[in-house]
Amino acid sequence: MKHRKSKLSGSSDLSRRDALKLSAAAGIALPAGAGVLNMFGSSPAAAAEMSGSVEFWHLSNPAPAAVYTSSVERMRVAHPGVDLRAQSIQNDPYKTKLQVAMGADQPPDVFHSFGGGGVLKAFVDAGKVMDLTDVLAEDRFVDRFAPASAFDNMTWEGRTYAVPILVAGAFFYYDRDLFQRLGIKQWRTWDEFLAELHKMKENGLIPIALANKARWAGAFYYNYLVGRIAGFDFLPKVLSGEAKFDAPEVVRAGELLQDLAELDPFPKGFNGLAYDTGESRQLLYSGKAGMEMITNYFPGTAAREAPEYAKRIWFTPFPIIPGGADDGSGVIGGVSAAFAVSSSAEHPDAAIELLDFLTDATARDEFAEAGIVVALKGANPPDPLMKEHAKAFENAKSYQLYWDQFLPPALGQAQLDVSQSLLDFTTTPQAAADHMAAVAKTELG
Amino acid sequence: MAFLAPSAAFYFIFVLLPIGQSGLYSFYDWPGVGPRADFIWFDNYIEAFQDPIFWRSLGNNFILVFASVGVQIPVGLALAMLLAAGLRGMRFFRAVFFLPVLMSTVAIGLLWIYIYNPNFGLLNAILGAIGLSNLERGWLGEPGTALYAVIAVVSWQWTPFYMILFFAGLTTIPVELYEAARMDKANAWQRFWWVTLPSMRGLIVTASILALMGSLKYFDLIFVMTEGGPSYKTELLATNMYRQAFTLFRFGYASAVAVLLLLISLTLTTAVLYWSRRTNGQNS
Repeated sequence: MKHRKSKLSGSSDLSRRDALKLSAAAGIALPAGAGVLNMFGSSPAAAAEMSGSVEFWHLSNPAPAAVYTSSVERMRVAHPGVDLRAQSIQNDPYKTKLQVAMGADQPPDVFHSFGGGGVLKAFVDAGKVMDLTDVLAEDRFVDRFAPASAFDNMTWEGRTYAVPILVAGAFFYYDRDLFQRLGIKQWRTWDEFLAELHKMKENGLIPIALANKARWAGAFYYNYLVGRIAGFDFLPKVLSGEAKFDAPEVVRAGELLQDLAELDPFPKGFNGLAYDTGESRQLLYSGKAGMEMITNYFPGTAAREAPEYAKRIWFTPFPIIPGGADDGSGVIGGVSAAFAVSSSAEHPDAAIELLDFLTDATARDEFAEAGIVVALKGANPPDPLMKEHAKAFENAKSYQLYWDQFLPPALGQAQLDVSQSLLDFTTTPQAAADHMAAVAKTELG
Repeated sequence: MAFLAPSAAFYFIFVLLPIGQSGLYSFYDWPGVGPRADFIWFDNYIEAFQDPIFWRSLGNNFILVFASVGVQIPVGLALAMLLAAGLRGMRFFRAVFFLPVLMSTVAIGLLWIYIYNPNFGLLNAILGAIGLSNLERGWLGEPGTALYAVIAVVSWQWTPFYMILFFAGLTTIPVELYEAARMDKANAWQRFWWVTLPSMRGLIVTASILALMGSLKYFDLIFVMTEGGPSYKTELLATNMYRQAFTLFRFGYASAVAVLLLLISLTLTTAVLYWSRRTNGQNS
């Protein structure tokens, strides 16, 4: 008997993956259905048995990844009917992989996002992300998150598209014992900072470990300098048209950045060193470099890679620029991990259930144990280093999310480019500011 | 004819159709997600011609072409002649020399990243140990050295490929030609120039075309080792295309770059083939 090819939705054929998913779901639904028939006589809980599949993508930074994995395991135990698949992906490859998956209409169901008007907003505008506003009003979620500003970078026009979990900021991390031995003093201002860098150099240290192949590590310095001089509300002002990138503050930030680079405080060939393969951390662990500006994931990473070194880690903020608009408490960072749900998730209930497990009290306590600062209420980290982090975040009067996540893609990439070029003197502060103003003009109109 | 059908179908679906699709996308301003709405005629092409990074990447591709044709092919030929000279133990070296071609490109990239590491890597360590520490560099991170450092690795990987190609060619040259040359009192250099080279001519042209095409669309090691940096100094047409499509959310523009790459490759390859056919006719 000849079978006619089934005429499913006209524009997109059922891809093989979808067909497999459908048959898997059917395979689960049939016995579940049979179970329902058996319900008369068994507990109501069996009837509420969740089924389906959830594909979950997260970053591979070891410390938070361990907590995500434990949440995933707990959900597997609680909901054996759900086929839960988790992928742990490195930072830079993740950005590409997600973009490709979105474009190919095969996105993961629950995925990590940095929030921000760049990547996440692009996906939201293309209709790929589920609106979570109503979900977040549910009882189980409504009182879970703090501070309220944690939702800023994932809420547009009153609708929220992701759930914040991790809070991070970029600070200088160093070996406390090493600095004490060398007599390196805590700095407050920019000049004091440069003086201490000199001292480190005289003692044969590479003052700052920097692996800038992916460009975001060097961009931290530029982001901080602009924030300290022009204030941490500069970028929102640019986006709303009140300020422009070719402002004198931005040029001055470029000049100070090149002053720093002129000191030669970075490792040789830093613009070609890769962060993901540890080329900057190696220098810290082996005592060849003094410190690194990196996010507060670092202590967790170090605990796994070099436990002896990790015991001696402390952190200090970016120096103050006298005369600048920021008082030194501003932090480049903010919510560094949020989870969003794809609008094409086939089993949204299961996906949201996973969000529940990722942000519940057990997860919150596990994060605190691991010394990770979270946007969840009631976290109480036992570790003194982490308590110090929590204080720094609480005291921060302003936040600016990493520029390459906050800004629309072309602008985000432009600032990565100019900061890398400023550091190896292939551009000038004025040219850098002008370039960004030009890109902003095309992007923002 | 019927036997051609499966290959033709395969070729059509996986080669011709996507090329056509890329051509179509190149006329749109499209981020790669969502509907394709913005038809902008040739704006993407105009932008490419005005983009300094596009021209720099084209220049880098040509540097790679010269390195491939000017280094890999002569060295490959020299190694092949060494292998064919009949010295003892050459079968072992044939296998050893060929290894780089067999290795995964990504593995080679990572290996050489560690060798080039300015602080812990083998290269700077050796330079320091033999008293040449003033030659130490941040190989992959400095604008002046990055491109050549990667090209060195590309050559390391692909020279053995040409070596094997030429070795096969050398073994087909009739020994009588060399004997005749010896009887005419030709020295080694003359034997090379008047016997070896002409016999290898066809193979050398083929190899040059392969090198040309491969260099124009090269992607792998640059992507793994420098990602086109620092400051786009090592950018190639293919890495630019990748970045535009997947990092900058500009699939339409990237498609235009892809079409331009196709046109450039087609033009140059056709020119080389035409030139070689013409001069072949004159020489025989």
